[in-house]
Amino acid sequence: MSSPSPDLPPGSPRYAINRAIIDLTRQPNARQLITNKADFFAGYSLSAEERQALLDMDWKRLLDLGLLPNLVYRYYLLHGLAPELFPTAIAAKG
Amino acid sequence: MAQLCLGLATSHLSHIINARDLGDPKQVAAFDAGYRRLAGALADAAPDVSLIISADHVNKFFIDNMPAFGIGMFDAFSGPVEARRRDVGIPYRQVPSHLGFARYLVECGLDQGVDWAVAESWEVDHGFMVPLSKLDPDGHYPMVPISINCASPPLPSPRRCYAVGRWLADAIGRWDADKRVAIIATGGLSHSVGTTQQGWIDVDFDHRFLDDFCAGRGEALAALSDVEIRATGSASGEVRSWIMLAGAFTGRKAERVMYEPIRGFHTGCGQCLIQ
Repeated sequence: MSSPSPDLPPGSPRYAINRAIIDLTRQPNARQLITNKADFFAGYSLSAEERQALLDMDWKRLLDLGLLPNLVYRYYLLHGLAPELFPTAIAAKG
Repeated sequence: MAQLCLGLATSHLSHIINARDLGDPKQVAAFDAGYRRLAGALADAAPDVSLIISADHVNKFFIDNMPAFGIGMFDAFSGPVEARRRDVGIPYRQVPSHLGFARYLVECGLDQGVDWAVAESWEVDHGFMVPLSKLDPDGHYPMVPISINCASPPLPSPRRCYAVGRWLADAIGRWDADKRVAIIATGGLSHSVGTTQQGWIDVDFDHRFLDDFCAGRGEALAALSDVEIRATGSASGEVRSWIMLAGAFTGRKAERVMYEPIRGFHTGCGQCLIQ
């Protein structure tokens, strides 16, 4: 997997946000990288709304913005949050 | 000629390995017992080669190249890929495969309208490796992995999955080899991952699905719409592997080995056997 790149080729409306998360979760030091999310995501051409939802860990909004459900959940787990608490977490942000 | 000797279907969630405490102990015990039953059937059948059909959970394939159907063409594969990143409760290991059989299916498919995406190396994920850890932990039986896109809509229709299953049975029957072939379908039943529905299980849907599956009413499963399936959960689309299996065993009745809606696992857990 390539390193984060500011020069992604054009893609579908949901491509950049999905690409950002798949790149992040494939990094061996992903847990360390999320301690400074803004820096990591700065390399991606995301809308302001997408960037904010990623920084806010707004699971529902990320879903609405087209992040694949599997990747919403993988991003959630990356934060060390309990799997069984996801329903509560996503409802809290709804 | 080769012949189909066994069909197995099972949910594939990892909780049965690494989050067992979240489930009701009686339900978890039923799931364990079901796995033992399926493993016994596989050992009794002793297939020369098996197909194992699962979703890929955005591990091998991503939206820059998302095939409807993928097949592994090699002598071995490995997994679970998740074990590269964390302890998932089962070891990362190699699984023997069968290059010749896979190549035969690819060549026939390309000639007959099943245009597989071909992977010549594959670190498969839990969808394959959790069932294999229960059914064949020591890698006695060569497995050819097949993936169905159940993760990134638009997904292949249930009717198309059923048709590919029918084609598989036909192709296996024409394979000029004295081989016994099993098919293992994994995934489902109703559940959601990463959405507001996570935790909800559509028990009614699961029972209807299993009733049709076990009665050999594959056409009813093929007639399900993507909307109907998606309404039961974001990840319920994995039942496409069961529908492909139903296509391969068209009209054949199946035994319901177990079904438990395990709330703590967020999944309707089912297992069936076609002998």
